[in-house]
Amino acid sequence: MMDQETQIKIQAFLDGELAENEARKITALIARDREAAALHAELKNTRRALAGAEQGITLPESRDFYWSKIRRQIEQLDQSSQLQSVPAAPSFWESVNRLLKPVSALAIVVLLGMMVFNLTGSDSGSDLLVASSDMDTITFRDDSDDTTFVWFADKPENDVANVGDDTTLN
Amino acid sequence: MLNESSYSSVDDKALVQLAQKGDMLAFEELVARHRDKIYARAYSMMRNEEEAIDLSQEAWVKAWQRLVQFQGESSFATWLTRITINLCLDQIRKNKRQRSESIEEMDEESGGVERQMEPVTFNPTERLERGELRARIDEAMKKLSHEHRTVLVLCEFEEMEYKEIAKVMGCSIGTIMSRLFYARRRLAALLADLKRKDTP
Repeated sequence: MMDQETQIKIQAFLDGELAENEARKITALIARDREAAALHAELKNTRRALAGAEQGITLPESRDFYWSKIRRQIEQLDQSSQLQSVPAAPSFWESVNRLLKPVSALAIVVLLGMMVFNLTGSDSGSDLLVASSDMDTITFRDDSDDTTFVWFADKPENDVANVGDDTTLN
Repeated sequence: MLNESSYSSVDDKALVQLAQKGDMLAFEELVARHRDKIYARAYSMMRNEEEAIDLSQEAWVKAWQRLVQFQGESSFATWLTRITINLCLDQIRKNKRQRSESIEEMDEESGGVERQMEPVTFNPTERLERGELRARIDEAMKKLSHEHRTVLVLCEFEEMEYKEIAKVMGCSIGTIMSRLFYARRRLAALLADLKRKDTP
């Protein structure tokens, strides 16, 4: 019984896949060994039987029917690829959102501007009064004269203290 | 654009060039010319009429989509056949994932009893009519597993080298040689067995 490697080599020889020196060895083996020759003949016969076996196979559908299915698929694919390439029209809410974004940004900028403007107090002659909770403190600023007056007054601790006596200055 | 009737007189190369520019009639002519060959290759691999029709049509659709990539290094028919083979291989892999591997298949992979079988002396080409031989091969091919049939188709019909088959099927050259050997021996045995069954 031939070993597996020799069997595979006989097949490779038949398929023209052996190197020249290996092919010579197999040719010699086939010439002297009956089993190798028989295997070679069997493989060769099978190859010969298969040659042209596909020629008898024909499409079991008419040309037009077969083509119509292909064309339909191609057209569907073309349509879907066109749809993907054309951007979809924006919806109503998308349009509103798109319009509102710059308006909102502008409104924020205006508000911030107003706040900064108010804090810097560019208004001449305005008074700024600040009251402290720990002690009665009143601040007066006159921008026109560029002067600030601060009054400090003791906070009444109990009912005994004079109510409304704001004449004490510290 | 050509007249509808003149497409049949144009060679494949010119038809491909027209189809690459979007000429659907040129592509239709290519389908008409090669549809049997493409279907036959799909059928040889799948051994199922419906699957072979679907896969061959899918191959044509893929060919249309990739037509701009076709540079003409091989013939259009060869290029299209390779697309068909790849689609069939994908389908075989999908089918295989769906069914569990049987003991018979594992036995086939290792070579089974055919390796120890005495050589078959029956010569089918000498003993049978062409039509009869074709029918018997058809029957015998159905009995092979997808893997063995595929390797046989790629080697015998597509005339691919072992290393090409290994690349396409994603396995080693050794596996291809082993599968091919098994497939041929089993086919020889099946043809001989069919002959014995018919003999009174």
